Order: sequence, then C-alpha cells, then structure tokens
Amino acid sequence: MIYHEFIGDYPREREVPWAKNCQGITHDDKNWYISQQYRIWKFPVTEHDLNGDVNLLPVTAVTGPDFFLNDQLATEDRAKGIKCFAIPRILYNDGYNHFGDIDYSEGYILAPLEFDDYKKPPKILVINASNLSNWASADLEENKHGQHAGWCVINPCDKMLYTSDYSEVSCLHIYELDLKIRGHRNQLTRQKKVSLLDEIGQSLTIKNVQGGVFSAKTGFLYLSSHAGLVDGGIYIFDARIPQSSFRLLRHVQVDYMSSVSYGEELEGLTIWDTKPSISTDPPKPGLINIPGQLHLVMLNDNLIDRDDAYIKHFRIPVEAETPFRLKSRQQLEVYLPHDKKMIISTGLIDADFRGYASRIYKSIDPPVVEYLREKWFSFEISFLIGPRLNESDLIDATVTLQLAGISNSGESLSSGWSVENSKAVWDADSERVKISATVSLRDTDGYLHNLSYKVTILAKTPPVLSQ
Amino acid sequence: MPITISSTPQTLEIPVAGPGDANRLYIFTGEAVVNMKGSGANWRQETLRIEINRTFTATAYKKGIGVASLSGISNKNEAINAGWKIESVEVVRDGDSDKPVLVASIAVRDVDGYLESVSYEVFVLAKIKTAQL
Repeated sequence: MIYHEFIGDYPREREVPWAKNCQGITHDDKNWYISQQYRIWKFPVTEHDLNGDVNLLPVTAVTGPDFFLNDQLATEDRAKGIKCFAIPRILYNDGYNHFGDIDYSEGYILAPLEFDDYKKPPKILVINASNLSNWASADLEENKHGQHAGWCVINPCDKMLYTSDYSEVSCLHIYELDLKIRGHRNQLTRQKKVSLLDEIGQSLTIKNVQGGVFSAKTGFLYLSSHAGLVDGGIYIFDARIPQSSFRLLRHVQVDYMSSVSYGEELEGLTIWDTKPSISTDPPKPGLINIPGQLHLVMLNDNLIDRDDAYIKHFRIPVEAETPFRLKSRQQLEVYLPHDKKMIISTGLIDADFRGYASRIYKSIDPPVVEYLREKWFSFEISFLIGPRLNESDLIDATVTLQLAGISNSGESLSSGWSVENSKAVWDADSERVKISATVSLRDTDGYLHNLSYKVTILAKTPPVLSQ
Repeated sequence: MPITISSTPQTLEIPVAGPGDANRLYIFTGEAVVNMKGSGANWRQETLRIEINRTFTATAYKKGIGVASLSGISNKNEAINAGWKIESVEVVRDGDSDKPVLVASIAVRDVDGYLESVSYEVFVLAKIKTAQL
C-alpha cells in the first residue's frame, strides 16, 4: 500500500492570471510550467511565488480567446524570466483551441492540443522550454471516444509518449516521438497501447482523465480523474517495467466538490519533491510554500469571469528524495582474527510517518462513508549504511529495527505501529549495505516518529574502498 | 532524571585485533526501568542515563556506541494524545565513575501515559591490559 497524505492547498482560491481554465502543471529543476486552455506559463522558482500576481499589460480592445492569445506580460515580469506561450496563431485559426495537462522532458514542454469540439484528432506540441517560443507539432491518430488528448507525458523509462482518451479510459496510447524541433512539423509514430488493470488484475476503466505523470524515482504512473468525490482523484499504477498492462496500486480520493453549483474540477498533476530545494540558500519563493511531492491542480470554474486556482499538495514518502533522515549516527569498526572486520552502525531513523486518512467515500447521494480504522497502511523504507566494499568482501550483514518513537493525536482508536521485513543486503549500485524494512501504521492520527537501528557487517579485511 | 541501572544486564566480551591497540569489544545489553509519566498534551522530555556496570580507565576506553528502543509503554484509562519517544542516543564515558553511560533524550505525552522501560545495547571498544584479562 502506498502511503499518502494531503497536506494543503497553495495557492488556494486565487484568481491568479493563470487560473482561468487552468489545465495542468509540470516543472524542470528551476521552473514551474502551468497550462491554461489557451496558453502555457513559465515561472522561475527563484523569482515568482505561484500565489502572486503577474503584471499584465491592459488589453482593452480584444476580448474572448484573442485576449489570451496576445502577449500581455509586462516588462518587469519578463525581466524575471516569466514567459507565456499562447496557442500558435496558425493552429488557432485552424481550429485548435485547447491545451491539456503538460509535461517537461529533456528541455522541451510536451503539450496536447485539442481541436474545437473535438472534430479533428488532436496534436502534440513540442515547445522549447528555454525560450517557450520555438515549437513543432505532430498529429495524434483518431481515438475511440471522440478526439481527446487531455494530457500527455513522456515515460522516463522508455522515452515514449503516453496519452489517453478522456471520458472512458481503459488503456493508454503509446507513441514514439522525436524530441526535436525542425520547422513546425514533427512526427508521432503509434507503437502500442497498454491496458489498465485494477488491484486484482481485472480490466479497469477510469472516467474523465485529466492529467498524468510518471515518477522517475519509483516508475509509478499517476493519473488524475475528474469523476467526482467517489470515483475521481488520483490513480497510482505500477509502471516500473515495460508491460502490456499497468496494475493499480492505489486509488486516492480527493476532497473536492464537482457538482455544477460548486464547479470544482481536478486537472493535471506533477511530481516534484520540493523539500530539498527549500533548505537551499537563498530561499526560493516559488517553492517555499509548496510542500510534499505530488502537486495536483484544481480549478474552481466560475464560468463567467476569472476562475479560482488551487494547487493541492500531497506527501508521498516513496517519492521523496529523503522521506526520513538518520540521526544519532554512530559507527564502530573492529578487527577480528582470520583477516575479518566487523562494523557496527547504530542510530535513529527520524521519520514522522502518519497513519492513512482512512475515510473512504462510497457514494455522495446518499452519503456513505466507510472508515478503515482497522486497516494497516504500510510503506517501504530503505537506506545505505557502512563503507563501500566489494561484494566478495562482504561475509554477512544483519539489521535490527525497533520502535523508538510513536504517538497518537487525540483519542486513540485502533492505533498500531509495526516494523517488519527488516533486511540487510549488498547493493550493487552503491557497493554498500542497503537496509530495507516495511513500516506499518494504523489509525488516522497515529504517528511513527523514530525507529532505532543496529546494523552489523562482517567483512574480509580490508573491505574499505573509500569512505 | 537519576542515573538508571539496567534491570537485566548482560555482557559479552570479544577479543579483537584492533584498530590500533584495541583488543576487546564489549557488548552490554539490557532493559532499563524508566517509569516516566507524561504531564499532559505536550511532550515531557527528560535525559535518560543508563550506567553500564563496568569501569574503564580513560586509557582503556577507546570508543562507545549504543542503540536504544522502546521496550515498555502503557497508558492508563483512555489514551488521549499519548506518545513515547527516544529522540537521541549516545554513549559517553563518565569521568567520575569511569563507567560507560548511554545518554538518551526520551519523552512521553498524555497525563496518564507511561514510558515503562527502554531496551539498549552498548558497544565499547577497549584496550585491556594483560593483567586485567
């Protein structure tokens, strides 16, 4: 079970210039990119807080879509590196009028672009992310349920472009795309499709898919669905190895009001573990209030005027660069007879894991909510320990992990904490001993703060390549 | 918090061949009875000192490390904001007693929450003179 926790919204209910018909979000190491129906924004994290305004030049002579197709950025915002890319006029005049959820890959923004009323197959735009100016487009083939392409993403594992229909999605379409810009034409070659399966391996259909993103760290695929409180939210698939189907690992419901009267709409999403960046100096305004690893755009569609934008942030420990830290670290090396060496490492794992919010909506009308208080939620932890050593020099390694800090906020109901499956094995990539274990929690307000560890490594002397 | 002595001390002595002139590794294990009571919804924090019942001269003592875990926790009546933590662990040699001491920062929460006991392992690398062996 993949652990997750909703942290909060930032921005929250903001009529920022990128809010109107906001569609999706992505990033590179230094910038956020946000798509609207008619344009794509680039915001350097060192210069711009996503909660802040952008200085737009007054455009009074034009209204409607043309308003968004005109370059309106003020000089001071250009100087900050903020850029805005509107649907190229030649494509807009041809009838293409709707960007979807975007992705960043190897210096390019990948943007799906749909035709008016879906009368023609959509296009995929490849846009130079540096200047957000040069672009090329390629045609997607017709798909089954209309001519949708609400999102597209490059899978870092196979470098292929993935996209899907919108309303009833039971498979993803995979294309080979040349990530270059030569003129305005590019080539997409359809390769295959991959089926979606539920947790027990049965065919799965997701409604109203709005966004998608692959995790380079875990290989998981995250799809966002605007199908309401019960069926919508975030679907997480195991996509770690090339296969003909992706199996569902977890469906995460998202608290939002999709009814017409509320008009909230889940859009695209991205993964960025922003916490390591926060600790750098100087602080970056574009990241400082953005916690967690998964970031989901939500729109409050006011229909008439400007919309309100939200970005929902989720903590997904498996996607964090450092979901925990080691502290009180101590190590002792002793030489033993017969050219052997023993290394003992001890310390604490500072984790602050929290039990899953075990409220599941079964239906809205009538309201049926199931509480999963007695369900354990587990996640994997792993870390490297000890010196580098050759595999042939490692004789054996053992680990003991024990509870060293637990708590429960408020009344304790069905709370529980456990650590199991502790293992110490040699890791070929790092040439060090890798510790792994499964940590489990129960109760929504149960916390696991600390684990203690003791690792004993027995090795031939001298095992150390470098410290 | 006063110095705590383990209720079930165990010792293992292993001859070693270094590093340097170190010739013994001692492993001390046990559970220390703490009986620390929480004071309310906020964490009550204390420093736990578990004294190892073995002396080492400053010359003999080379290095000490340790690990500590929760081994006994409880809550009377309804648990409200209950919690038990070990926040840090280190091993030092007490210059007055010549004994290794495991020093841990521990905390407990909830007015009727108790941290009953802490289990520990202490590893001491030492150079013991032949006459002491």
